[in-house]
Amino acid sequence: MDIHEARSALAESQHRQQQTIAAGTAPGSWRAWLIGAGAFVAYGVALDLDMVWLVGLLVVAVVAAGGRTLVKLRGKPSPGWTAALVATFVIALLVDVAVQFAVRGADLPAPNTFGGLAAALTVILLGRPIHARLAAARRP
Amino acid sequence: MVPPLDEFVHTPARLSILSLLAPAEWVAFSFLRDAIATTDSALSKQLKTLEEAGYVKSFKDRSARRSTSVRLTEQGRTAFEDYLNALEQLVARSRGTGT
Repeated sequence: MDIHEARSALAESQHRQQQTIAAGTAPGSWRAWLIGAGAFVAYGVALDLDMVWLVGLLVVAVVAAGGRTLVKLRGKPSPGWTAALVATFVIALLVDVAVQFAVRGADLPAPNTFGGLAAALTVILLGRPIHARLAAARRP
Repeated sequence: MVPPLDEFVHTPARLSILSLLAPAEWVAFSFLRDAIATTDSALSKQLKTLEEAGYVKSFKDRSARRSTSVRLTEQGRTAFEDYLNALEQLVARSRGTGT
């Protein structure tokens, strides 16, 4: 093997490794996040319309529509960012409940829908950037 | 002295596959196929050869709707790292910095 061939093989290998790292550290797609956030709204609407049976279908639809992970990088994810991501969903649930109370207190219709909308906004505004940080923290 | 190159790894398709697998715990079959812009059957053939050599392992991922994923084995990782080391030493030697 000559030196040019060796250099080219090394460059090719580095390029391919970067492809995997880029795929493994990419933030979740907008599509996946919108589906996740939309699920909160749909859940609220289903409750307000007294169609609780729809929730089961909703869960199946969200799981089916969500994209699958294509690359799992080596190493453990950052515990701090993982905790922050979990906290985002807890905050979203708390926001949901708080908005529901406020809407019920104001005697407005569809409190679950408003709660779901607020939770969806929280998930989009907080969850996606935190998930992007969590993914980026895995970059070797 | 430069260690001998693993001729088995030293083919463009196999080198691409091993390089794509190296930073990952596992990758989806579809990711490999799209990354190297090949067909399902051509990739399957390469993976079968690598699997027979003990370099990679294919498995069905239950958490991903039973789709196929691929990972590097310890033997494959060692062979890949040895191959890269040999290349780096070859390049270093040409610069006059190698041992």
